Amino acid sequence: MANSQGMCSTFKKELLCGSHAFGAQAANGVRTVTTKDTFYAALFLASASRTVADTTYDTTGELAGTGNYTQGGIAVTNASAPTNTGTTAWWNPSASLQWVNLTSSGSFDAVLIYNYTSTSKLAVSVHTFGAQSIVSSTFTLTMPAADSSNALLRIA
Amino acid sequence: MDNEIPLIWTSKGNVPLDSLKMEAIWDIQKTYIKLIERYTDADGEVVKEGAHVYSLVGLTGESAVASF
Repeated sequence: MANSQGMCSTFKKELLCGSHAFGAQAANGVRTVTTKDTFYAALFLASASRTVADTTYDTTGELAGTGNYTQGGIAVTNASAPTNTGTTAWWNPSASLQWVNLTSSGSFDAVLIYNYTSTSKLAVSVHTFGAQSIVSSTFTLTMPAADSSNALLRIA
Repeated sequence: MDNEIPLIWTSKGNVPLDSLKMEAIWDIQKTYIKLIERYTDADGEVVKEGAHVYSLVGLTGESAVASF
């Protein structure tokens, strides 16, 4: 089985339950989340099986912690709170993801975004980009345009 | 200074840049554009390879509501 991209099914449920905070929550009269969560991005081998069925982050199929890669991945820069344009709500990381001086332990083709703050490391989404190996160099994932048509996560 | 040979970091340490063959490979898909920078040595071994992916579009979760 291969990696396939999509918004994780449990993530959608968790949004309804208030389990993720990409930005500070607007006051709802009963409770207010004043701090946002931290999100991480981890790289997965092309032979892995990351899908929308993922519920949490784990190291199964992740790049090995060698060649300047740290399992668990790197923090996603989140300086811009979610917003909505018309009928679409959207969120986009505010910087590229970059691994420098990397030598990957194998060919990889997917990144898993997950909620690092949550105790169980709740999965958010899987994104694929074609199989790739890195040798003594840099791997960069540049985010799509920050708008309602292209942002990394959108609810239409 | 004028005679210094530029070096580049590879899997074999710093090597003269002019001893390597560099290829720029574009992978253009509907959802992303990827640029691969590949350096091979005289034996054809890949000693340095980087990639830069530009995601063109993210993911959409569609909302749905029931009607009464």
